[in-house]
Amino acid sequence: MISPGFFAGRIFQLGIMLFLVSFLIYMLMGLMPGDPIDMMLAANPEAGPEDAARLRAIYGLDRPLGERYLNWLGAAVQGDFGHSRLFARPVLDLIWPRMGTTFILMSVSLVLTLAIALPVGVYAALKPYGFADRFVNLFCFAGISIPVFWLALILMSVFSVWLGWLPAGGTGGEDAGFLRRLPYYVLPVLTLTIAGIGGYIRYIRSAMIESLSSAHIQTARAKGCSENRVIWVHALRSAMIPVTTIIALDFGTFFSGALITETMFSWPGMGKLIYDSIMGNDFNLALVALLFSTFFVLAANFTADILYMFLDPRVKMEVDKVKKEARI
Amino acid sequence: MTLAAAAAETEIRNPTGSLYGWRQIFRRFRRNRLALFAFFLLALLCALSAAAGLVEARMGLDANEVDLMKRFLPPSAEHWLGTDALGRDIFLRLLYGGRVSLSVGLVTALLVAVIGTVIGLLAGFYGGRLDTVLMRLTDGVIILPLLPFLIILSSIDLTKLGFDPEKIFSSGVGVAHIVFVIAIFGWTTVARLVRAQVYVVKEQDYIRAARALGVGPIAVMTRHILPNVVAVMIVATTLSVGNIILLESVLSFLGLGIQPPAASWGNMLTGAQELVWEHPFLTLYPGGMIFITVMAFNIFGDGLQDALNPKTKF
Repeated sequence: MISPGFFAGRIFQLGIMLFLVSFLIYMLMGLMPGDPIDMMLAANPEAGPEDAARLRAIYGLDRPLGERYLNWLGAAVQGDFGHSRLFARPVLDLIWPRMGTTFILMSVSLVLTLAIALPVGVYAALKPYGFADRFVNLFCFAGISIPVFWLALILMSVFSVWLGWLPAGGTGGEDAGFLRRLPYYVLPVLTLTIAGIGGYIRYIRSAMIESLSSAHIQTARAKGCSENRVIWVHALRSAMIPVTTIIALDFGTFFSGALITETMFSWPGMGKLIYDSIMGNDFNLALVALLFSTFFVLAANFTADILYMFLDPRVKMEVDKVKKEARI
Repeated sequence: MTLAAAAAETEIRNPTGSLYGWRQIFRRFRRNRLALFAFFLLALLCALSAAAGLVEARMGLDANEVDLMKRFLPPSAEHWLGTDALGRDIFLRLLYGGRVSLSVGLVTALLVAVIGTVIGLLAGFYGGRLDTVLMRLTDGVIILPLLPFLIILSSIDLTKLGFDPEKIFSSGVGVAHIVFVIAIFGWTTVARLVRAQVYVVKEQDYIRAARALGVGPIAVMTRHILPNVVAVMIVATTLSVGNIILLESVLSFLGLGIQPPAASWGNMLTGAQELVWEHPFLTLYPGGMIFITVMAFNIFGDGLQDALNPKTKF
């Protein structure tokens, strides 16, 4: 069904894309304010102009930009992504654990989002433009329209400052037990869920409406299936095809999608790492972290394509259509 | 041109129905009370922000004047919503902030519509290799992690791009910078939708007739195809305004967008984290304004979509 040539082609595209993105980010980093050598010198009052020249030579900054990029790329291809200036550690050592914390946060909120969005979306689809649907629709618009940083501020002020029930940030320490860490999850997960659920409900709703109006539903009704079975088995099954694709695509944005939430709640994940590295002029760390995030988006796209082909063998090219619709 | 030819051309130009079409669209839109309400709310917000200068003069205050003796005043006849951490009138700053947020949203959306339409039109009309290249570019932009890239682009040093260092700190340049940064990433939706619509339209008989009559490609695109893409363009653009305002507010909140002392709803929230306990309303007002405005744009855009394409309505 899926030829090896298809795989090879896609992996080749992925490589080209990563190459282009790394070049783009490298160039952009050169435009950031400040100069890394000046910053190093500022920290040391005894350093003079000779030291600046020496440091420039050590870090290869006296070379032209293109050559510097190729040097970086050569090392990166061999798995050497360099060091972080801000944390004074190898970049990869920083990124792996951060990905873990982000992954946990995002998966918990995705599960919660789906647990709410599936029944609500299906329910709204049963009577389009009925009272419940309108109410749900308004709620979805609210979720889509709320500024995430403001939502985080409000939740923090209500639950941490005012009521004092929950911690306002952090993770509760890496060694703490599950129960000790649990309260630290509540507010970030709530923020991500409220901000993300509207899109999912709307998407599930329209997928359900489309599937409920298709011929196989009529067949199911005609042969005497109970309404519950028609909705939850026959209709939901075909509605889940595009929804699964969306979930797979959403996975790609996992590692940079929570930038604001993580920063607001000082959650030590990838989003916060990217933010801190850009703001702290830690160019190399920012470059690698962004490259990893982009890689995951690309990989998720790839997965979504494959998944869609498996779920719906009828159409191979349809996946582009789903992706387009999802982004509207 | 004979009368018959002229009449035929009007029809070609607007096959979905001329004046009657728009009237029908308007009638359909009017039936959606929520969207109508959103529209009037937006009109009110725009009018209020536009009148910020007048209100300021009338109240005898200065929105940017720092007065440390007047910090955190409660609402009063003089200061309708009280004053902020630097003793500035919150109500006036909300109006001025609205001016910035709304104009950034609308101007960027306009830019997004122009870029997206040109790219979508070219890709859809010519197809083939140009289409492939342009759509690859679109996919490439979509793939990039949005927020990190916006943060990088809005904090780059403009002097390194050869801009005059004396001018880059003026507020006009700051606004233009943010508009361009968001537009660079915002045009993809419009481009894809316009392209898809062009693909549908260009196969229709009247386009073939126009081409067969020897109408050049530019004229076919602008006079025959564009009018039939307008509906899609308007909807996509309106729906993008809310998102643009959200992005501007995040960047300003992080201190990267609109720079103080000029107010924007986003930068009024910078540092609000520390004040949440003692002065919760300082957080509530600007955030609430962003929320309401973005929601109004989304509901308005959604209503517009329903009115313009009754077929897509489920």
